Amino acid sequence: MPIESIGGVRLHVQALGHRGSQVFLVHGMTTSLASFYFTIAPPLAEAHRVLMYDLRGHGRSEAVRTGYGVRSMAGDLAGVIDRFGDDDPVDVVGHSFGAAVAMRYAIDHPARVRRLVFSEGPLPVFLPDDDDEFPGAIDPERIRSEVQGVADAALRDLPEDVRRALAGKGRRVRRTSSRATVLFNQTSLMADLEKDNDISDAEIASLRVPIMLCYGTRTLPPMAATLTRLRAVLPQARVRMFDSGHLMLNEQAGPVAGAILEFLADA
Amino acid sequence: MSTIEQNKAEILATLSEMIKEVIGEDWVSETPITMDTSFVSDLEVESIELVALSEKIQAKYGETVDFPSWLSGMELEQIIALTVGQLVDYIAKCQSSR
Repeated sequence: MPIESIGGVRLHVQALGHRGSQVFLVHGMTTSLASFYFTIAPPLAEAHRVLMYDLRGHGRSEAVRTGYGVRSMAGDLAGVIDRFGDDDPVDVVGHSFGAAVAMRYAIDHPARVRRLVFSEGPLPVFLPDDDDEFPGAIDPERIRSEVQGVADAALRDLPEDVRRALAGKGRRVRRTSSRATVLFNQTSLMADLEKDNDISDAEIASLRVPIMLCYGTRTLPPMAATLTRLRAVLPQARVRMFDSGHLMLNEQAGPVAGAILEFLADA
Repeated sequence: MSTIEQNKAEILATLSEMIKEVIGEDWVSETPITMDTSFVSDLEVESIELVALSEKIQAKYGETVDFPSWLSGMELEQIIALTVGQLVDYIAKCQSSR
């Protein structure tokens, strides 16, 4: 750590906590492990050894050109768990796109997962509106405005001054959108996700591990639709709702961490 | 200068170097970082850069300074208003209660 070559891809890995069972955290698209590191990871680390990594093409991990479908991403998670996991099954928490990756992993490796937390995940994973014939060449300005648009939508519930400070047009947005430009234009992410962005109801229903679904009461429509779908396919799942939009880890870090700790203690 | 003030001045100097390394852009090496410098509005740090800063803080000050827990205990509004000076004070406090 922190940069490890896993399956030939250089991935940025971080750990917090020294005792308890292991919990692996999988972040969402165009964010990084930082979305956990300063939110739910520290409270989880009081009772667990928490491991998190940047998805390929994200944060400080390598932006390799290919392998961005849900299955390939779950392959990276498998590599991280193989490298750092104990012999015992581990708990996996996925947020947003990372929830789909975590669920794919749990379906493909039922013996390796003890419990699954599916937080604010979309299934199918949705992409920026794609009316281009060649999704590999999207106008960087459009990506900038998509990134800004998703950020604005996710931020709409926050107080005005907070929103202004976070959604500024300065260095941070420039860097986030330039990274997204690489991801959308210089990798096969769009094409990969067109082929591999969903998990069938039958596969989801095959999950035998305890599952907790966590969503914000004011989440984005695709996430709300996913919650409805998963409640029908997984009637046994525990469901916890939080007073937030999609940025639930930032808005409700303490309560979300509390719910996860409770779930890991008694499920 | 009292010992406490001297210690804080040292921490500020150390943090300034760490922040400049983490951001790694020319303008920041030319900008003096003070106790009032804001991480979000002045430095526009990305959260992934704060993870790198956290690694450096831990390497330098050890486990007694728990930067991730300290930040995770804050409301979003507090994080947005966070200054370098607040982090200096927090590190000084961790050291004195050691």
